[in-house]
Amino acid sequence: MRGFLRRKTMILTVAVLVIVAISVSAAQGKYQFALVSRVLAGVCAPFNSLFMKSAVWTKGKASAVGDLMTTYRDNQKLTAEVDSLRAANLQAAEIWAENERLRQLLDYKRQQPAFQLMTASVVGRESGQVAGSILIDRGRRHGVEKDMPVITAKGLVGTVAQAYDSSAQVQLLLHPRSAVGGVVQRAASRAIGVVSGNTGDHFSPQLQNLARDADVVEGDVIVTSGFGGLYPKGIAIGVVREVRNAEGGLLKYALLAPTVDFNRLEEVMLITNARLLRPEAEPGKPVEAPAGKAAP
Amino acid sequence: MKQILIFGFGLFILLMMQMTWLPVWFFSGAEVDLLLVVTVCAGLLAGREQGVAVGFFAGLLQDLLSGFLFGYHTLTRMLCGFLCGLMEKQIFKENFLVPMVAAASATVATQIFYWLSAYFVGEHVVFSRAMLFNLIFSSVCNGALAWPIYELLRWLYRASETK
Repeated sequence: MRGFLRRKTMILTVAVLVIVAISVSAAQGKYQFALVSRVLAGVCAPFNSLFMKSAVWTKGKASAVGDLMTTYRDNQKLTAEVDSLRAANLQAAEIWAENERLRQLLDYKRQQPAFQLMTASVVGRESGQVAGSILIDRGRRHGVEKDMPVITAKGLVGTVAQAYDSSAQVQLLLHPRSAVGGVVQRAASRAIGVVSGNTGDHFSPQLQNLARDADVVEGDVIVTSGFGGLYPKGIAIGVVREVRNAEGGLLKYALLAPTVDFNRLEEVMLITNARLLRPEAEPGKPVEAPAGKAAP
Repeated sequence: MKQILIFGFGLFILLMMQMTWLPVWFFSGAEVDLLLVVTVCAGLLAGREQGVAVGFFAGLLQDLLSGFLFGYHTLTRMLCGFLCGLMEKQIFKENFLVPMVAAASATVATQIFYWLSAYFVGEHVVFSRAMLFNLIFSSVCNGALAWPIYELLRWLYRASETK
């Protein structure tokens, strides 16, 4: 090949001169190579297409293999991200629910200016006895005393059975030993009885000691009567679900549906002080009575 | 004649690869010029006559397909082949850096020649930092490709001389 090309040195020199001449001519627009270029482009086009298709195809395959190699790593990364987002979502939902509950408590607090309230979180429940008692995260150190009423925005929960240093045990309204003075809220009735737990059906306390002719009907709302001095007057207890005659025939009792959902107790309020507002008293000068000793 | 046909076909395949495979696979953004690299390597390995010959055919092929000023590629490739051919006797051919540096330098030289040609033809050339980066990147790519092409051509020349 070298020998062949050496013999052409002179030809190439001439060729250079010709090309220079053609270049100058082409630059001045006097000479065009449209036909030659068109023919060459036509010849090259199929090859060009073939090469380009093969390049794109191989590039695509290589990319697919590359993607496959990174799939496992991406999957691990995305799985971790999903777990993290799920946890964050759960936390956000929990915070939202807590916020909603606290908002309700706050609203109740605003609606009840007569009560001095202390918020507490439920931190434990007596195992095996749903209707027994709960443990809250406030104790003597926070001012909690035995027999303080415990409520939620929906109604009465129970009383403090035992106050420890930084926690307290609350006996629920559903407990068989609990006894709360109750009265029918309806103005035409105002029948009085005692609400206590039901050993047969924990979630259905009963209003006992009702006279046979007492005006109590299904749907009546029962609130605390304030008698006995333990609970302030007017806290919701439950709604009459059913009225039954007691054995012996002299009295009757009513089964109640509690206004508080005892299965979902998370935050409660303790009434640390109850102030009774007398109608004749000037606003802003309430007559104070300590909790547990509220005047009827 | 058979050798010329094979050589021409080889150049054609290289041009096709330069127009299709390289932009798709490796050097999007850089202007890789396989034919320039082949011309440089041919000049370094076989001397100025062969360098000019390879540059002529390679440049002619590019001129006919590029649409730019006819003769630009032919003349620049011939010039590169000639200049590299002048160094044939003075270089150590086993040194792999020689073709790499030569190809990178040829890339810069042809690009400058291109700008000058465009200027003289009447085209408005606006210089920018991106053009400079592109030129450096292109020369590096061509320099990197020069080594395997140089080794391949060296093997082919040895094979043809053995025959």
